[in-house]
Amino acid sequence: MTQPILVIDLDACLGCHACATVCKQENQIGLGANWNKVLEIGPVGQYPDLEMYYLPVLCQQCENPTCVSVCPTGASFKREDGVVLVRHERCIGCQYCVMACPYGARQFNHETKLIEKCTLCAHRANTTDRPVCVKACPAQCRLYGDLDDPLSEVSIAVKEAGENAHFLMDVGNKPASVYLLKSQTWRNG
Amino acid sequence: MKDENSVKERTSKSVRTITGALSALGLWGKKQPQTFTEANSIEAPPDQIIPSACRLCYGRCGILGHIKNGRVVKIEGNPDIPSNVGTLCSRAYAIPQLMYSPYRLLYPLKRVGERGEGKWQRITWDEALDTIASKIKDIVENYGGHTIIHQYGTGRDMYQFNAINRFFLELGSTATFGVGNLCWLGSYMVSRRIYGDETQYTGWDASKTKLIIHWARQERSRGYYDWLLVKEAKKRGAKYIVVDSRFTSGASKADIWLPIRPGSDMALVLAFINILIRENYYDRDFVTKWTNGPFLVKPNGWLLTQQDLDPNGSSTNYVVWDENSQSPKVWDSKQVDWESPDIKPALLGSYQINGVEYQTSFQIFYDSVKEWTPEKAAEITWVAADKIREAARLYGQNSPGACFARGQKVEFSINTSGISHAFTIMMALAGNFDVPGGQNIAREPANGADPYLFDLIPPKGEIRQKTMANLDKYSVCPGKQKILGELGGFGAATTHAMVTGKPFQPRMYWGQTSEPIVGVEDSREVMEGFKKLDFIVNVDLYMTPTGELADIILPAAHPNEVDRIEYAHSGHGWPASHTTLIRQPFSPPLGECRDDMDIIFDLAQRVGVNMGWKDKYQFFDFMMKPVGMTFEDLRKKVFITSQPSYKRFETGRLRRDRKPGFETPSGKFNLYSEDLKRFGWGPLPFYIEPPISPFSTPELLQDYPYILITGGRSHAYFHTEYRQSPWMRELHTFPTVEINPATAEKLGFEDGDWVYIETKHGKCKQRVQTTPAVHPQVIHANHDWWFPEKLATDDLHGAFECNPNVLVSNDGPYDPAIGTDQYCGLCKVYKALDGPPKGIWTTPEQLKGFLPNAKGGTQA
Repeated sequence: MTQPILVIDLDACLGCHACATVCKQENQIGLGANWNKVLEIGPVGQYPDLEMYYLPVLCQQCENPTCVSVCPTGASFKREDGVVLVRHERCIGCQYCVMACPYGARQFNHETKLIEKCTLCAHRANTTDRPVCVKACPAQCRLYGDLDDPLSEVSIAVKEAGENAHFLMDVGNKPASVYLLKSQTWRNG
Repeated sequence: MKDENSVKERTSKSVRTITGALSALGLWGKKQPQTFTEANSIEAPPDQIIPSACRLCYGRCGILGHIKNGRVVKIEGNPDIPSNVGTLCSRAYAIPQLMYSPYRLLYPLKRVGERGEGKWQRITWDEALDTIASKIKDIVENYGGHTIIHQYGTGRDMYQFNAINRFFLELGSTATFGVGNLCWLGSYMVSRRIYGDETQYTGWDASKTKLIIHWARQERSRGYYDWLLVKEAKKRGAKYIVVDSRFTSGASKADIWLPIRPGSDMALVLAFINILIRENYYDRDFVTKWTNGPFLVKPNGWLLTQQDLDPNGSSTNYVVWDENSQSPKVWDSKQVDWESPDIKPALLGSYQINGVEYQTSFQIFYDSVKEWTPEKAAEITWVAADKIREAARLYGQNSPGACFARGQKVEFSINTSGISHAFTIMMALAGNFDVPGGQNIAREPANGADPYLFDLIPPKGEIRQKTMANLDKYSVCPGKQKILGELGGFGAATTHAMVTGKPFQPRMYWGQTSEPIVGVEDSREVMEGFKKLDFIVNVDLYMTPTGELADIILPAAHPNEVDRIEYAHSGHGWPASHTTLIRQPFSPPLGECRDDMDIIFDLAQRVGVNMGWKDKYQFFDFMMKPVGMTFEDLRKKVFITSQPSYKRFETGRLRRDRKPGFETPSGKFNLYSEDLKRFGWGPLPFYIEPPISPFSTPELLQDYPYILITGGRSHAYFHTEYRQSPWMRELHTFPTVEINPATAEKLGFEDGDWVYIETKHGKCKQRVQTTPAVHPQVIHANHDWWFPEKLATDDLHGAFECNPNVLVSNDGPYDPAIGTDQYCGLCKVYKALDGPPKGIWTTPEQLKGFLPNAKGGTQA
């Protein structure tokens, strides 16, 4: 099995939103929609004793994706290689998956009446090519690779991070993507 | 995340259309069967990929434009460019939207209604340029060229800047709104006077540094790539210190954040310097050997010269006390050497010569900073004394080999010359100049292609020579602009002259991709002034508030429709500081748009001004000569980057005569500056409280209890620009005022409320965002807001509604050398009972109006 994920180093992320914009360009996402959005976590505390980090939120490529289990038509599925995708020819736009995703990572396209989400740039034919957000990040804070491969860059980064590797809150869906945060308190578990 | 809801925030419309049969190649090298339709398609490969440069901020990242059917459809970072190494910020992706915006101006226009009525008629280039040429000739003949105001926007390339400048200086024009005297001339002027080169502390070297100080430099706003090196330095164990009034993105990553009271920066630098000297962190050898610290000073504050002691001596040779011979000895400025070997100059102390007591300049300096204990600085800056001590010690302990970069906003004060001087001394004392990991003494660009030669080399015309010889007569601020100010006019003086007719009435304004009504202090006065002029020409890509007052509009090409040599501006570190790259067209100019430089060359021919160069290409080739290339070679090569070099004051590479030392009249690093004293400043930096502040004007506090600042820079915009990009408008939708939650609660505000911010001078409206990132007594407002979607008749596209430049007056005081205004002040804030501004676009449906091919816009 493979489990493709992103590892995002929040100690490096500057909150510039370039990932969100390059994603819109690459995937021709309409106005008002984002497959990748950047949240500002904080500042928490009283001036000047503050903590803050930025949290890019996108599909977590869950091991047990709720969006897939609630889909009535089988349009949402976890591909053999581990990427969570939507078969558009089966999608009826019921939006159950949108409600099921704990992270708001899915978008309903009001014009096509279909569901859209991060595909990890699956369309980029060159298999060695990374998703555009990974390539373009001005802080170079994103890694992409196979978590099931112990020698992959992401596995090594996660292992090295130890207790500083975090997942978004798990409500049984087992999010697979990893956030690294060492300099301050993780507030999104 | 603040709560679960914010993560699950739902989005509304999406307009993407799904295309047909799609790829399903596996991610890990295995081919997957095509059993599904993904949410996006494989694009057909582009017809062409063109390397160029982004000009949407000061950073000049290398970009690749994907071209299809003659149009750029996609932007990618160029991985070969050593500064941005393939990464890009959001702005770059807006290039196609900005290039093909329905709001682009495509043809020359002539105003057919009243000023500000928004009524225009298309004319030919010939009609436009001939009208302008004849008007210029008429004004020069009847009123003098000094009655023409010329203006260029900040962050344009310096080739264009110099072409515009040369043309208007040749006509005798001196007045501008002064882009540089806000943010750039302070450090340029001071660094030239202090160590002989004009820099903005460019070329700081994070790649080898042990410590980085970012002073009011918001890392995510301009040329982000420096962060990559800072990040790596941090991983190596380098310390990161951020000085900022707000808890910025950079501050949140810092080892130490010094949350400084707005406008009090000088007190903090002086405290740093005091600690460096008192606790012996300073590089005594450097200060003794290379600076004028040992030079003796007369009781009247001027340096003691050889001539003072000996009538036959030189007035440019200086005197030190030699500890070896216990006698005065002479520094020979011409030879750049001592009068004899074996001199050991005293750095500190007071010495008697012929019955007169002389102190060393370093002694005077040290005495002047002694009062700046961390405790005193804490009172003034509101930064805890122990934090100041800790940061200054860390800087001292890690120097030489610590680097510094400042944001331009720190210079937006009446203390701009002084603060630049103090920063420069701080770095020198710590021994950080021209050492690995410190500050490279580097111009922009550091590898030599300096576009100022455009105007330096060719002969100057008669009108210009006469103007320069009588600058006091032809300047809007006679006697004031003595150093590097814009040759006789900074913004406030120009605005006042337009409105009052004093010292003379300007007749014409020429603006080139600049927006003074929105961007210059006291927006309403600027507008009133423009209405008094006979003739206005505005060159821009879009219709703007100032453009609406013009008589003729000329359509400028987009930066990615023209050829240029490019380099990063605004104090970037290595390797950006040492990189030159090509900016070349993705596609030809739309409609009848023309390159700004070509417009100037054409007009010069019609007016009869000698530009000195045949065209831009002749100058580009000249510029590339020092590196052994032509412009076409650069086009092929795309970029060049050079390595920083160190200790050039020892090897002689800083001076034209190749003698060791600095390219200053004495050859020394002028820690004690007679030039600054001459230009109305002190020879040493000192603290000045901002003119409107809780300490300067406590009587205002009852009515205006909050400190107003506007220095935060948007990661979506560049001052007044890019409001026409729907993606940028989505990223930064509202003119936002940041208020501390405790203050908001006291005032009864909630997030999303529209409030008025009011100073003694005016009021504007913004939308509340509560955040503890600002001090409870500080209010931070977004600068330079206007709304292209509003009409000319909506008070010039809403130029005054949400724009904090209506809150500041033009009435000074100013920095005496540079003419910089103070931009922070005191304000009150209260709920806007009339709600949000009318007619501004905030929803996806509305913002569709900015998409290429949308109906409406200027072209409709």
